[in-house]
Amino acid sequence: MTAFNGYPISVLLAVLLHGLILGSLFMMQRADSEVLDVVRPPAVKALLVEENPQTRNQQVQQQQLAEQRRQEQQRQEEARRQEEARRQEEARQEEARQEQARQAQLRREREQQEREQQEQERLERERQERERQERERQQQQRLEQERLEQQRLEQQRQQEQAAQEAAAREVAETEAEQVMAYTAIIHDLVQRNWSRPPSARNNMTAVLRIRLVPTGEIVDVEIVRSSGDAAFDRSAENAVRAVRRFEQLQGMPPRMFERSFRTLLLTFRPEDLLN
Amino acid sequence: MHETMNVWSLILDATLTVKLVMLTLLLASIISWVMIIQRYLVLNNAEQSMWSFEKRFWSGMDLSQLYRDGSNQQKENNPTGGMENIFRAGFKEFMRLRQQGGVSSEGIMAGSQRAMRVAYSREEEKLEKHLPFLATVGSVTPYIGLFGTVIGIMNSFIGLAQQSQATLQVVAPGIAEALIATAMGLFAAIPAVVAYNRYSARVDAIAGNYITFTEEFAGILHRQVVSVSK
Repeated sequence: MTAFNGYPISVLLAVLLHGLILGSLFMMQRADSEVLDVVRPPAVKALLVEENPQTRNQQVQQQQLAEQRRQEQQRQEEARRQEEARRQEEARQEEARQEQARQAQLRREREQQEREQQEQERLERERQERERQERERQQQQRLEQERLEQQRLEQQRQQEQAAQEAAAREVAETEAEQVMAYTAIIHDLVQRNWSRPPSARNNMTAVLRIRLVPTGEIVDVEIVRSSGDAAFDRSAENAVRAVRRFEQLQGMPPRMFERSFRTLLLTFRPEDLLN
Repeated sequence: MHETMNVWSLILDATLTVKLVMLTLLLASIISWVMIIQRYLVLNNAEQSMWSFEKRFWSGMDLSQLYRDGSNQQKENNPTGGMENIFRAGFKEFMRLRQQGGVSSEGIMAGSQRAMRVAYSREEEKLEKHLPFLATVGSVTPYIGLFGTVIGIMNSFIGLAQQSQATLQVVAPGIAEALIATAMGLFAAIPAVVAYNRYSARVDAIAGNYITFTEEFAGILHRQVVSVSK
């Protein structure tokens, strides 16, 4: 007396059902990935329009207000652009002045050297040659290290940089080199404190002006040119504020500080931090 | 949505534990669907045979004729329905005790009622078979899926700890992969729970009909015993 059982058919149906579901999932994925590249549905925005005269008046007023604001912004933008241009011009002049001063110094040095004996001159040349080679080597090393930097552990990197900074300060004797070394220190510190927001894109640039006092403390940070992304600007500003103080700048000759580091322009780009 | 990744690549790229969990869930889902379909057929069959037997029983047909019909049906290797089985057990015991003689009318009634109770519990057992499995699948597979998800998310966070810059792109595939396990758990659980509730109610209804029939048939037998002994 065997009771009714529908095992064979139910096994068949269950397997068929699962196969169908998995298969349709597979087909759907295929279709999705093919279509997605070609068709992009236009975004349709639905607006609720109220037919109330009062609200319409308000809307009109708001629109006018918005228009005024926009114009105001444009004006400000224009003013900012001009300001920026002026500043850039100033920076260029400053640079030219610096260049002149350096050349004058070099000339003086040369005169002094001429007064000195031939022997000393030769030694000096040799020394300079060595120095230059050393410098080039350092430069290459630094580039190499910068490239490897991201892959290394944080601590290791800090130690190496500390050593590098010390070495750089010992070696860099002329003022231009010192300026470069200090700039590199500032860049490293800011970059280390900078966490890029997820909205950062490669073509964004934000320019920040920072003001320093001779102890290395940052007294003011200001966004000179916005990247267009608020989060990006904020992150750049936070990076500078997080440093709070460039301790390495303390030992700097006051003359050099006044000339190059009283106010500083920093350009932030997602891929790199540039001056 | 996602240009390069799809559900299949996620499943294939999953870690071993998550893959095992997914396999378990797939098997549980298939087996529970086998049970669901099989129970559906069995319960439908039981209900149909119950209605047809009740119709025949109350048509005024001679009870011994009904019994003989059932015997013939069984001889043709065509099993009789649940209610008919109860009827046959009770009627067989009733006839046997009456032919034996020397048994009091209470004895005859008690004997046939016992036989019907035994047959009833056997039928009920047949109806309720596999229902506990559905209940187990319904309550356990979400947990198994959750386990797979937790393991998957754990793995993706361990991977995240080794990255210096944590981006969404690093975590997202791991989490998506892990969530598939939960989805599969729910996919297996929902039909099982629905089927379990539905089928329990149907089994209860059928068993209630059986009990009612048992009582009615006992009443008929009792009438016969009393009329004969008078």
